[in-house]
Amino acid sequence: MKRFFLVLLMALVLSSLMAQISLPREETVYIAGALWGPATTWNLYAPQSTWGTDQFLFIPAFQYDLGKDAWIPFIAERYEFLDDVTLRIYIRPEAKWSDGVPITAEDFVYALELSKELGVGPGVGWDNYIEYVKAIDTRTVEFKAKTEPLNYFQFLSYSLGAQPMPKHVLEKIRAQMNIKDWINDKPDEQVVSGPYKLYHYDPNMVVYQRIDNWWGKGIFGLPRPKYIAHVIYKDNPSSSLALERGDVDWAGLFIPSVWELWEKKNLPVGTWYSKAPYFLPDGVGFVYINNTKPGLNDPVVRKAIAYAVPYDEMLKKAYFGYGSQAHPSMVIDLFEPNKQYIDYTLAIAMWGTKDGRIPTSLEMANKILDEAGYKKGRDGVRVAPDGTKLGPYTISVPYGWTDWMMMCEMIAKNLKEIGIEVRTEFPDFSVWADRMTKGTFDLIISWSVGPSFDHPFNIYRFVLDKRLSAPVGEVTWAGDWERYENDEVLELLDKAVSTLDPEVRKNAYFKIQRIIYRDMPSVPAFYTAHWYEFSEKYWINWPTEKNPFWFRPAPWHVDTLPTLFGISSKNNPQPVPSWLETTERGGLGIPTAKIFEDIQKAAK
Amino acid sequence: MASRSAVKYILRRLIFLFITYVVATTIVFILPRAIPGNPLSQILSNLSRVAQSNPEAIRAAEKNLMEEFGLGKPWYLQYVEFIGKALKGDLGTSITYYPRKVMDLIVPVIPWTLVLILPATIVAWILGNSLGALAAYRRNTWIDKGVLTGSLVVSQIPYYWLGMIFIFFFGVKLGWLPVQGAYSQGTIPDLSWAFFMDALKHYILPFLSIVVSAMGGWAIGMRLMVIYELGSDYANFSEYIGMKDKRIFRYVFRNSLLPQVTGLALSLGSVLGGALITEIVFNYPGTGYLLFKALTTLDYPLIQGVFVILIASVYLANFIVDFVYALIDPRIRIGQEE
Amino acid sequence: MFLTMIKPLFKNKKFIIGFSIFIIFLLMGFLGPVFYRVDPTEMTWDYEQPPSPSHPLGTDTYGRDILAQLFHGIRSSLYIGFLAAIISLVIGTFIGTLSAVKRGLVDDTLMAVTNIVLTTPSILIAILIASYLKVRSIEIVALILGLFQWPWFARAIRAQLMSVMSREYVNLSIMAGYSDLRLIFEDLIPTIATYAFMSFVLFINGGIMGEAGLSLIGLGPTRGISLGIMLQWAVLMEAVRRGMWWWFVPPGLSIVAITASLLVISTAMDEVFNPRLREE
Repeated sequence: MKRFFLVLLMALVLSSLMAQISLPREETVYIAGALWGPATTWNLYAPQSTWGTDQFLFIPAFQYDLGKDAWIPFIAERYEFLDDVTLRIYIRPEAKWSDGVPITAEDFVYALELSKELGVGPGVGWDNYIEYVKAIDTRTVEFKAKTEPLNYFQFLSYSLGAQPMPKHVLEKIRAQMNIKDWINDKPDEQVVSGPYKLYHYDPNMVVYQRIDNWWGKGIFGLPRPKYIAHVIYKDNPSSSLALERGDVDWAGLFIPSVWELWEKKNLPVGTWYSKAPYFLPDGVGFVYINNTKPGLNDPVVRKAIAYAVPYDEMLKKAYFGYGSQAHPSMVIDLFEPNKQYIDYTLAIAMWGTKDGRIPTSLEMANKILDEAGYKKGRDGVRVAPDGTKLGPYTISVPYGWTDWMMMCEMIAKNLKEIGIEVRTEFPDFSVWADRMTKGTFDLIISWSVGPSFDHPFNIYRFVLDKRLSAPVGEVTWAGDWERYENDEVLELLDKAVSTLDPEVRKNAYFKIQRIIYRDMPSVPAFYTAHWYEFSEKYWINWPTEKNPFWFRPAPWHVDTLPTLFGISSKNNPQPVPSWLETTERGGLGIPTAKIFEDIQKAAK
Repeated sequence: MASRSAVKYILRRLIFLFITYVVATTIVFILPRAIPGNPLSQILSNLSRVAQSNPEAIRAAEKNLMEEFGLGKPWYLQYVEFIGKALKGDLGTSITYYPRKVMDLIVPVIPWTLVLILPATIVAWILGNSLGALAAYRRNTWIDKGVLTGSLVVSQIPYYWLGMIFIFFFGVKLGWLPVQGAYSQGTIPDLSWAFFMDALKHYILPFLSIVVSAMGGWAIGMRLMVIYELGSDYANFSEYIGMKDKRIFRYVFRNSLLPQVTGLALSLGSVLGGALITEIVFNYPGTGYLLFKALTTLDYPLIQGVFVILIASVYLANFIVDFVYALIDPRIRIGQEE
Repeated sequence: MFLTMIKPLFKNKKFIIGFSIFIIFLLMGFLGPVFYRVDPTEMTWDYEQPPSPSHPLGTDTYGRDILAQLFHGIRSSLYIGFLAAIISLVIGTFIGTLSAVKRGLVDDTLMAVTNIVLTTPSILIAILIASYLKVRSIEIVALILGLFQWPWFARAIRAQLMSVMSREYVNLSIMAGYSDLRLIFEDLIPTIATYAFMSFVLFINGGIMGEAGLSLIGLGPTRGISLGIMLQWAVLMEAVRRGMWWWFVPPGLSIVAITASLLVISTAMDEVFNPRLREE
């Protein structure tokens, strides 16, 4: 017993000589809202890697810049089109893995081939659109697009956005174990292409440390924070409390009444816009209507529902005004470049409003239902001429998603008024998801896809492409949850992405919009918010509406890395690096339009 | 000394606990499979939001995961596999934190829970019993009345709510102690003195909230026990033959303590449950916190794993208490069982 | 006879205090929602307001009135408590008496089951079951809780009955050819009535506390309001660290007041009816 205490005492004395390790506050960006539980893996060949792996550790050949619709050459220095379906990218001579081994074309080929083999990994699914990827020499990779089907958007995003993986490391790992079980959690053994790598992790926190001799230092400079630390908070409120207290600098959180943080509490906290809607849009929230249910399979009923959704009121009350009503064309028109894809003349003629958004009008809803012969019964519920009763249906979102729950209540109330009986239901998430993906729901509110390089193709495809769907009762996560079927749309979609002519593409989209307005497969209701808040207590120059150097500034977003190159420590303000600009303005970003021009030139 | 009968008693308890454990793990296994629903929906929905622009990726991942978790196999095969692996210490793979092993996720949080719950339970037990005995000894004085009334109320305060009150009062209002976590944000746990002090500061409130509210129950129980014993024949007899009060009390105290030891064993489950929730209130990175995460994401393998471990530790603690009991109970010691 | 039994209770100071507190809360649960007609689920723009004349106990993050929630919460928590207690009492009495009457193999099996349930950490099993049920009504939650708190009661009943059954009059009944059922109802149940009532009171406590615990980890009823759900929201929304005492103090206080008053009632009854505890 005595000996035990002696040992204990010695251990205590010894340990007191060691200094406590804590991160220097001024050099650390603390993050909340991107990681909600213990870290998983720093290996991209797994269905989900830990936050940071895709963001900071493994960077792509070209980084897409949503705000300027341009591609910034990261690992690649330039591209070249041999003809209209063959692309070569040239790797920067400086590019090296963090262990000093140069990044080669083989690393690109290996990365993609492995994803194809495993069915998981960076760029998985590329083989649907790319014929082959091969190494021409150590610094040149060649991609050839598939011509059947030919999809320029997918081709470009898979090839330009390709992430190389360290072949020399992965080969060794694969010889020892199943690569999917590889956690890659030893900071000393991590081999990365990005400017950060893992420093420490425990169930409480994940910390990345800047690689001070990163290969890209001479070209891009270094990202400003030395450490980026994500504390794993229990939930949303505890994270936002930490932001309020200045414990967190960079957050991606839903915060009720966010404006009070600076208006009432005078905290140095901000969001993208300093006024409503405060956040950039991140996607389109839909009221999905099951196209296979009796009653709901009638476009008139669906259109009546579209008229009955209380867009403005619902966004103001349930969503704190963080989003605006979505355009019925499904195109996110808050980004200037997207506006060209909307047929405003048609939309305005169709819906009779200034910009062609659907008005909330119970009158119109009642009118079209009356005209279609739906008569109100004694219980106030309408019945079709063939006897189909409009209800009772359910509208559901997962329990606990309070903002959406409130929206459901409001929609149900309005629908009751026009004679469609709808009850709200808030089951557990997995039950709800099961109904959604199996197509057994009546009405649900759910997400779709967001602004991206191939917008609006991505959203049309997600919502309307029956090839992504599955029969009712079978699970599909890929898209078309409402089970809409229309072959004409498929043709138009294929046309839009296989053409190089912007006019042809635009026309295809216009035609799709005509079909949408006719069939109203589901109701595009509102733009969901790109949750992003920052605190200027320790770090300044955050991207905002007034300092718009990066448009995907949320810490959880895959494209967020450039944010860290633009911010500065409060004690040491630095300018935003000029390479973030497009080539026309002296930066590195190559506009997408220029890329399409180059393809066209190569085709001739 | 431990006699043959003590050994027999221990063995019997051991067999009983083993059987109980098998029953419990079987329930833990069967439950998730008895209820329909796709356990993968959480991970797939995350994927569907991340991999928005390549739906092909989601298809592939779905197929991949079904195979990975062996969800296609008949349930009895899954059960055999589960038990076989569990015996080797492999509790399977977490769904939400795929591909992390359930064991790897649980192991780092267990020390935090142990450090919180063991000392708190023992301290509460000792303090509570002493108070209860004191009250009974001074029956009908103001001490007795104070202890009884206080205990009656305090024993009904849930640990976690007392924790909330403590956080609000000592942390938020007075600012004396940290309000959450097991150590300061941004520190990396190590064996340094500074870290130890930091952790200690964070430890006080959760520790106190368990001790204070657990004490009440023990005090009430002990007080009753002692009053019963004081009214028993042997105590009356001892008094009759003129034994000193203090000496009688010592016997009485020892005898009353025995049922309290059994009580300790039986209460372990609810103590653990309460402590788990207390961890959540304090954002304390222990097993309760992990369980909370697992529950909110419906990570069945992880939930199962946490339970298999928790139930096993309750049984283990039960067994230790039984063992101690066998050592101190004269009836078992000399082989005169109930 | 009932009156003469009750009478001494009202001479006990403890009982009176406990009983009055309990009645106050019972009335709050029953009459509160009748007189204070505010919808506890209605979300308003007055969110996170401290107590004021329009919201006597303030509001939560969604602008829901705390006092209205409290009344409804007390109501459903009491309901859950009673329901769970009835379930436990029925199961416990059934198993205890069956064991005592049948003896032999039946007794052994039932006691084995009882011991297994007794040693198994019931709150953990309740958490486990609740986590697999996607939709949980208030009744389901009560059922889950009621299913696991009977064992100690069953054991005590069995022991008590066994000692009763060795007495003369029971033997006479058996000789007179009473059926098991008649024996149980006429001779045995009455002897355990007081004990059963005291246990019932403790079961209510178990139900109320259990519900709060389940709710706090997000496994309470999926519809409706209870004291546990109020606490859960308060914890979820960081009411404690943000200093919104009006949100988490009232529900917790109500739980403590209800359960403590019931415990006091039970203790007082023990003192009154149990000769060994009677104060000299």
